[in-house]
Amino acid sequence: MFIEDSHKEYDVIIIGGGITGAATARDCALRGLKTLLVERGDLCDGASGRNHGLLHSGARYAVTDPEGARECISENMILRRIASSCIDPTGGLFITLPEDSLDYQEKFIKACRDCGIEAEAITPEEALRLEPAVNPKLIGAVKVPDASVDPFRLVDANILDAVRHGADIIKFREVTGLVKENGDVKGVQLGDTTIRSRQVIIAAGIWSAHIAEMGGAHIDMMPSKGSLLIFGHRLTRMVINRCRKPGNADILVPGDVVSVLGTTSDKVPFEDCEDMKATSDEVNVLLNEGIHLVPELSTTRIIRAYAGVRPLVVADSSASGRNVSRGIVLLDHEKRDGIKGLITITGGKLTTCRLMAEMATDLVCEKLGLKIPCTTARRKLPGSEKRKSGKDPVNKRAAVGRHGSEADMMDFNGKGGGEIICECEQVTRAEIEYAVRNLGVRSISDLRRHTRVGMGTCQGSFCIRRVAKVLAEVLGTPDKALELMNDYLQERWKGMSPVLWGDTLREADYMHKVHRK
Amino acid sequence: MQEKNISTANLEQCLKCNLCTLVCPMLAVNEQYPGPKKAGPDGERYRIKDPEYYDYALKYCLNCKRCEVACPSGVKIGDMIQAARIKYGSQSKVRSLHGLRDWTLASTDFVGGMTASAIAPIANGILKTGMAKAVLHGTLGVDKHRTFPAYSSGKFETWFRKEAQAGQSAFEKKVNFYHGCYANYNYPQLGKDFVKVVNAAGYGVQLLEREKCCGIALMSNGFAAKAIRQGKINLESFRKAEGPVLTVSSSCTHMMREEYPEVLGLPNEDVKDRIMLLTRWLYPRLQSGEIKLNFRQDFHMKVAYHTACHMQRMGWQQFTIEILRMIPGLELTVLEPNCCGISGTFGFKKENYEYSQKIGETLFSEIREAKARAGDSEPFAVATECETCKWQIEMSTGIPVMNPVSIIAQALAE
Amino acid sequence: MKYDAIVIGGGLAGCTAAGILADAGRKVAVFSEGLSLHDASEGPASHKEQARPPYAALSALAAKGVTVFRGDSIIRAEMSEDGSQVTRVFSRNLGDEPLEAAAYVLATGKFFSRGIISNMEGMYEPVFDADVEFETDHSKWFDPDFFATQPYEKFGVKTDSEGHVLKGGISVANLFAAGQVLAGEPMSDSDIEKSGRTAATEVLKKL
Repeated sequence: MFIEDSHKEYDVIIIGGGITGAATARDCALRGLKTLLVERGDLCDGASGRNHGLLHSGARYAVTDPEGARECISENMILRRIASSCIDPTGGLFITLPEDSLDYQEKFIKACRDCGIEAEAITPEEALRLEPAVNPKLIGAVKVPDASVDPFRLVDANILDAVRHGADIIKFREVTGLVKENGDVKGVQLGDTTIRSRQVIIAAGIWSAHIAEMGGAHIDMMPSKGSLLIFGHRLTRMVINRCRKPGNADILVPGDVVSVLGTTSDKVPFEDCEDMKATSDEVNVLLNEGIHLVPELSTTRIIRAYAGVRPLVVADSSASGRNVSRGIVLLDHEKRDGIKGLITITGGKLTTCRLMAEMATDLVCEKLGLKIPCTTARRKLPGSEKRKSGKDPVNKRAAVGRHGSEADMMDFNGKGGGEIICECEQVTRAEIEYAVRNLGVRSISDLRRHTRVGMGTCQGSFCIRRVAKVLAEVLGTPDKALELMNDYLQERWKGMSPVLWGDTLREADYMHKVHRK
Repeated sequence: MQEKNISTANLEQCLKCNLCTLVCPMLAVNEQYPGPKKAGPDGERYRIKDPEYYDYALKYCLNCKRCEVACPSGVKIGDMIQAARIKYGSQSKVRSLHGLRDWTLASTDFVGGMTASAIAPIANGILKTGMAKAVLHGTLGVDKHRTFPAYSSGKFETWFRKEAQAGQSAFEKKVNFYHGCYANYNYPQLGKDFVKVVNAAGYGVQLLEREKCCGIALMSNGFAAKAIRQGKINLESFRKAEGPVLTVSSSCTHMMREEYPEVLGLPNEDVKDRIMLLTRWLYPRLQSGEIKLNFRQDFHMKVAYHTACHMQRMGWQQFTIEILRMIPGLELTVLEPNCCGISGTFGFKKENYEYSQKIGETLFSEIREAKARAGDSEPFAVATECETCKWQIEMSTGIPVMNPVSIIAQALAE
Repeated sequence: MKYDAIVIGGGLAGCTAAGILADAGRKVAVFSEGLSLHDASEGPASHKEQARPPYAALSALAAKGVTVFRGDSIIRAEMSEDGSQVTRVFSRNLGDEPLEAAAYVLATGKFFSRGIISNMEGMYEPVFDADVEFETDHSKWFDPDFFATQPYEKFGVKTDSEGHVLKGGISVANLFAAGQVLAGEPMSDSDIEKSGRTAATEVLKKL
């Protein structure tokens, strides 16, 4: 369950509430380990919540990294089974434009097939029939099993399963040190609180290097910033990729009700990782490149720009972000650095989160002398269980779309439960209550990650006062509503300001007029 | 320059200010209706993702376009809702009783054509009887308070060909007349008044090669495919005809100008500017002196002008108002533009009767007040370009409603 | 159609100006593209919480004899050869029907109401292409603090000392601006009303 503090002793403590940590907590809990996950902010606060939401088929890596590609396609198929509520099986299209080469397309198809990825070449006409919005100048197209995945929901589902199998979660507490005895790691320090455990797993993305340092281990990591743009609605049904060597702004993903275009790739200093935001220059790069994929992007409203940081581990001295290993990195610090009780799991991709968790948990079990098989590949995640067929009431449909079978745990019949609070994203009071009760929500930003509150076209302009009021009530602190709202508005501003022109400036004008009193 | 904004996707120009919600007449009386913002741009984002998100409560949209008039962002909210009903809602079937009712209400020209004939007196007689009303109410679901608009015993077209066509050759300049169903089947006098005014203006009248019902009732009753077929025929006729295509009904005009392209996907750019109400065509010509109308000096009438919803959306009421003001002896009041609630065939359905009447109440009381102020010394009428507004206002207030074209015709010196 | 004055914009500034002109016995037309935020009494409230009818201000003008064009906007203007006068304007709904007045009031507001349009390259005023004061460096349009007064709020139409709108550096003698379309510090409601009154006074002088 979600707790504030703990004096228990755990088998394993996982540092980091992103997708890697969440999936690892789930695996550990399912194997019966006494598990604690510690996160300094909210779940999904780092790179896990700042990416494309693309469930890779592996096609993108087939030419350059066949091993990574194989991992992707295998995990892609597993996640479709166990996390169906988080995945929209859109399919993907790799398009070749006149300035690209059809030779590369051929090479690409062969590489995909070698990795076991279905890749079917279709004619440009057929591609335009499937996706009328793609660049009509295309000269080739290949269909692959890419999909769209909601990273927030995937993290939540893993956390919910972990909690339901006995794991504890502490949010909003930062690890200030590792407990060390005779050079071995025996737990974590959260300020004055010492929590002991037999093993500690670092799953903190780019911040892993910093935490490993506390344990006396050095990991050579390179923060690589990726900026993305969110467009107001779905422009395409499928994921659209450029069929060429990976570059800037060459993927457009239809995620939930929006389209996400990305990314850039730039090496940044560690200091920048704390406050990632997209710059105007990056926005220009994304737009200028993106319109080659889907020309309509130039006349579609940008809701906001955001940036995440990839936790790349330096395998060689190459300076460019895109060629450094994006493979899974599992570090046994006992073997590597002589530090018992410490493991780091990093690198990898959203798509391979389950595999990363399996690898880390296997290692933990080995360290603990346990032989318990991993079951995560065949057990469905919460939300992905089969639901009774039949039509849901209108105000529940968006919640079902987001949470799958978990929506049936929301109290739509309770007092005001079915009332829509956030209109763009059709979030009801019942869904807000559910998120507060089950996912440890404290702020509107937390609520946004777990429900899509305020993620829509208006970014909260219209509903945020109401959201703040309801959240404050549900949290039992009705006098905090204004504070909740102001924090949220400031947070939204970060993503709106780099794209502040046209309709986004109009929205900002409206937002300032009504909310800045 | 206004058009050169960033987003060309109309749904995204919505800033969620909810000003449309404030003016939606349906939302004010019916909580089942989600309101224009939720039904329109909000819902559209979800429907694009998955048609499963379609909400059947969209059937309550009156298609009055008041949301569009109120929108500071130029979002075509009403069109978006109509288009969603066509794209995602189930299309009506004639097989069920309500389907048959909807078909009957929607097929204004077919039913009109059958009825506006020798059997008209019989049909009118039957439709007026209490028993027929009870049957319509109970089985078909046509509200018992409604009286079917009377069918004329002769069509306008028949009269025109027999009585007026020959005389039109005397005029050098001609206009085309799209008379619409109401003037043809229910009230040929309106068509005759049109001819009288146009002739008095020095122009001849010619009918189109082929004319079909504009299809608005088909569109709103779930028979979009048929509406599209009829729209194509009309547009083809307009293309063949030279010069202006003049009309007397605001809803038909709005449908053919705005909803053909926006809702039915029928491009009309090449002819759109030629389709207009008579008053829209007449006013600038009166202003420039090209046309002069001689009005009777002994004409006396008090008129309250009601801006029908689609008239308001087109923004042409001022052309009519200015012409009515030119008539000596006509005392004009302009009513606040409120919805009468009938919305074409919507209010004829018994499940909608109460909504219709509640929506119209503000307008009805303003009309009653205007009538009271006017007194009984002179004839009093409400003027409006919409025939369904006419039925609704007459049924609800007992006060006569006239098309402005008829008022102009009556005021003309012989 | 001919009027003494045509007011473009039916928000607080436009309605204030039109009301004064009508009270002075002038023939006035108001073009109001949609409602204004002032028509929503409490900002983003649900329709149930709405305290007064949304068209209250425009209806009051209509009762005074002002011709109100709801949901219509002026989309283009014709100028005298030397650029010092607006000769006539045209609206979207009225099409080729010319609209003439002795004086025009531009009260179209800022970005929300599309009185000023912004894009990646810059900003412009869409009806008259009047001169707009703004910062060319896009990164200077905003303050990182949401709650601070934003630089973009100060951008707007340029006027001369008598309130005439500038176009291509030339004062347009019969075009006045009122309300938030103007460049300068963000306005309170009473500032906006005052600005509407000032414009009306200038127009009356002109008439």
